[in-house]
Amino acid sequence: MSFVTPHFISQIPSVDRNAADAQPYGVVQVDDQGVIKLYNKWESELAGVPTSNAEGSNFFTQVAPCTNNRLVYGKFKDGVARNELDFEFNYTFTYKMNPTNVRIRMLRHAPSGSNWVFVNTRAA
Amino acid sequence: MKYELPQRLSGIAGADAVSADTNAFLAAVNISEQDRTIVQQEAHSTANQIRALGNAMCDPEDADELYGALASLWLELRLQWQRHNDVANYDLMRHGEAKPIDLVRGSVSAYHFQRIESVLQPNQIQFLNKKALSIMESLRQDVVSPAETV
Repeated sequence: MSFVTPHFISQIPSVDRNAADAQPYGVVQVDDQGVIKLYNKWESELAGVPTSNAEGSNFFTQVAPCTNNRLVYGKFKDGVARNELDFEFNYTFTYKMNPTNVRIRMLRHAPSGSNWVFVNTRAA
Repeated sequence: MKYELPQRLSGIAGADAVSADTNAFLAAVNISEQDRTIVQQEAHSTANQIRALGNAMCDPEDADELYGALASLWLELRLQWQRHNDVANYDLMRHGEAKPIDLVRGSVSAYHFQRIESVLQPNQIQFLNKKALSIMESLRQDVVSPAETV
């Protein structure tokens, strides 16, 4: 079962900053190139990146370079190209932090053409 | 203007701080004593390299050379971090777990280049990040599996 509830998914694409900040996990909306449009408080605190710095930057290459590889960014690009993406997987962040185990879900909401990256911490 | 960069490098790469900070990364994973020792040795080796640059280029007229050398070391560490990150996460994806030593090596590499960033200006850091990304992108495109060039 995903850490992102179906109820939250049903609110896409009208999720606003308040709704995103209310979630107990990272909520990041990106455009088709990966540029961040919305970066919630939880993710900002996990990454140590102020929201104002993150929004407008590329999630995969600039803000979360841990994800700049075929496993994540490559999968994202493929999903956008196919207009189909819903992939959840375990990952580990080590960029300017202790080794941190996370679970990531990348979702393309086809009706709105919006892209979302959700991040939650997990036990080893 | 006083040439303080060599002294600052000694500060950011001090042995006690490196030990303590590396121990914090090690505490985040379940790692063997043997691998713990390896990681501490590697962390101190990198710190020694940072201090050695400052000690070698300690005169004010060496400033530009020192900044250039620091930029090269930053790039080396940034690419090293990328390698550790990718090995750890590919292992995780394929085998369900990443080796603790790879995870900590990643954190330690990032720690060192972040320490170097503390003596640089924001525009220098931005330039270095863009350069690293550009190099990695072009390598991914230009150095591919022979099968893909047929």
